[in-house]
Amino acid sequence: MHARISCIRFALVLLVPLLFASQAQAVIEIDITDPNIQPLPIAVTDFTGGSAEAGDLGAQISAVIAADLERSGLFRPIDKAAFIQTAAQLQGVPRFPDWRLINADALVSGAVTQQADGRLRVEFRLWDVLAEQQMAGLALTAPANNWRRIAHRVADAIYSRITGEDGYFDSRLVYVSETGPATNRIKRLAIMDQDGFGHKYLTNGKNLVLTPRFSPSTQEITYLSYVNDKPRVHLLNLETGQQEVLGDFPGMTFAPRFGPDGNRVVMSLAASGNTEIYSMDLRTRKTSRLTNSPGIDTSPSFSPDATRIAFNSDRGGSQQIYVMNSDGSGVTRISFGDGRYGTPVWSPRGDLIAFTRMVGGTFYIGVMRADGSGERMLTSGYLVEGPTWSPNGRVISFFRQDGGGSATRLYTIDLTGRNERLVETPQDGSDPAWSPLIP
Amino acid sequence: MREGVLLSGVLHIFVLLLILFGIPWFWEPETLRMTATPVTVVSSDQLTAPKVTQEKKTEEKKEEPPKAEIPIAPPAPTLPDPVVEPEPPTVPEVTENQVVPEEAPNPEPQESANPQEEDTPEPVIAEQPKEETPPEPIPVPTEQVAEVQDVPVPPQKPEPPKKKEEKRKDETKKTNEEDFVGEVINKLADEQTAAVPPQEEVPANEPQTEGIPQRLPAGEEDALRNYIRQCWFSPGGVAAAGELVVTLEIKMNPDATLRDVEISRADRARMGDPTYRSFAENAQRAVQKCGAGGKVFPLNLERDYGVWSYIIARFRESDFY
Repeated sequence: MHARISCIRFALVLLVPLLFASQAQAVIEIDITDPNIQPLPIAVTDFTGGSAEAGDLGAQISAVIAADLERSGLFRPIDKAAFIQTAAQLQGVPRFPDWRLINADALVSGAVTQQADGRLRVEFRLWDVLAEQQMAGLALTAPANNWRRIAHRVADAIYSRITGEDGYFDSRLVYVSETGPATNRIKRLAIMDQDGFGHKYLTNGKNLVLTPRFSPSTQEITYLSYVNDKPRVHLLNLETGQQEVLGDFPGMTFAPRFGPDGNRVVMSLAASGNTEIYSMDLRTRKTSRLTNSPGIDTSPSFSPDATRIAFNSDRGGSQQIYVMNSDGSGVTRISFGDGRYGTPVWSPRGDLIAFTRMVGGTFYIGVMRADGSGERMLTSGYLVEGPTWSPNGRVISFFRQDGGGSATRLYTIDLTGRNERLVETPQDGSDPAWSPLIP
Repeated sequence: MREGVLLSGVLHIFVLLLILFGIPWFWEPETLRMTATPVTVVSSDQLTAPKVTQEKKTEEKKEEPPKAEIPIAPPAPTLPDPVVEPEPPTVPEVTENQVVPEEAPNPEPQESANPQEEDTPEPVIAEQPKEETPPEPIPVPTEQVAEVQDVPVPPQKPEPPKKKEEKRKDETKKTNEEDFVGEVINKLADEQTAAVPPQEEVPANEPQTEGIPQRLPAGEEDALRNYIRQCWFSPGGVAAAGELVVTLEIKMNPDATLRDVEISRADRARMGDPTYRSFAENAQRAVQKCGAGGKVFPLNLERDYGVWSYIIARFRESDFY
């Protein structure tokens, strides 16, 4: 009897804890790496307007916005024919299931109003279709004839909110427009919006112009021009049209480039058979020599924090890329590959340096980190040269020639090597330079 | 008497140890019923009715049990990237004004850069020393950028059902030698309450947000990872690639549909950085997209809901390109 009770106790003690065993819970952990690199599907609806004219303008504005986003390669605007909800129905909160149905991740809606003073007021909202909430909302006003710039600003705001990076659509490209045969080539400075609209010539072609460069902070351009067959670095103010020569040096000055604050210009000066890099303070016109080597030092480019300068030099026996402090000290070679490296350009983001490389008769446009690591070629061809960065350091513009005697065209490419696109110009184009965002 | 006291004491200590450390041995029968899942990519359709063989393993119970209730999977082999095909839109309810969505083609820029429409400017011959035509001043419009004042408040999301509190009934059975069972139950309940902080009991159909961190079997984990990854898009080229990691808290419904996904509290503190915010929102959007429209996640419904109702997912973008 006593033994039987003990056995019952033993069994119950073993079994009773089973009642509480189910309380133990689990949390599943999982790691996910490396997303798919694909553009984000976005629906850009026509901006509504109170009048027929405003409505037409709204449609044009949304078209420019969609084109900007699509050209960046990071967005995929959805065909408007697929929209279920109309633009007029978007005055309140969208019916998000309708937009999820067409696989839109983001939605842009807006309205255009013509004010009594003739200015335009454009409102837009950016919606997260999956989270069903508004991501951004802005209102911009400007003269009516600047509606394209408003559209670019809206596209910049959308781009910035979704990618976390600054936009670049409200900017311009200056380049060398080329016409005529190779033996009598006419080269003129030209400027246009980054999407190719608003094209204008800045010079008349009488004097050879080369290597235009935009100031990062002001609406000024520096470029090389052969006046009276004498090459000099010129400064051109786009707002006032004022031009001037940056000093009269005993030699040839070329390859000018602004410093990040726009108050300095670095350039090469060839004198007495030697080419060195100089810096000039535009306010005092005081120059200082930065390099001192028997080799050819040229193509200087400031880092965005103005502490360092990248340039190319053949001081080591072959044309390679070097980095030095802004005072000329601490020269360090960062390229070590085969062939020749040239035209280094520091990204506005500060993380990469774009360059041109020539190996085995083929040209490449590539990028590398400031310490020379992570070298990667983005594109190649018979002739690809002259990289310039967009204001946000995401896109590179360059010029390409597909064969001797063929046309020279401007292109853009994403820094990942994707989305290479032709930039339409009236004639051949070379040596592009990207402006900062227009203030 | 002495013998009984000794035996009782030993058994009490044994039971306490089992309760404190989760009684892993008692999960064994459920684990033993699972078959080894293949380490291959399985589509979500195939996993709606996962294969679980109901083999009788009474004889195997006598063998040594596995060392872990859910074995830690070896590193999965490198799988080919899943083919991401655009999902065909589900057939919606027919309404009068509905437009059947078509596959969105890449729209061509409606306004092409066509400077050829411009008249070729006549070159102006300037006088020395200004030999070049002064450019037209580029107009710089003044702008006002203001936040929209009348931002509509989006509709409130329905509040999650409140957790019911169940009070345990106090058991007040008399104890004597014949009611030893009642005495044991009382003692176990008291000791468990003392050992574990008092918690609100969560109903069986609510995600269990606390528990022992575990990993799914290799095949199931790969299936879930690939399912979410196919919805995860990024522009690439992020300057901080390699440093971006975000943890999402995913709550599932009992039918393996998505209930909610949130960025972890620790990572929410970093949302002031635009780059990080974009990365985190991208990851969150991926889970939302995978769960939109009641889509079912590839989870083994045969497994206890409490095991997989709460998923901690860490997203990491390691490659710059």
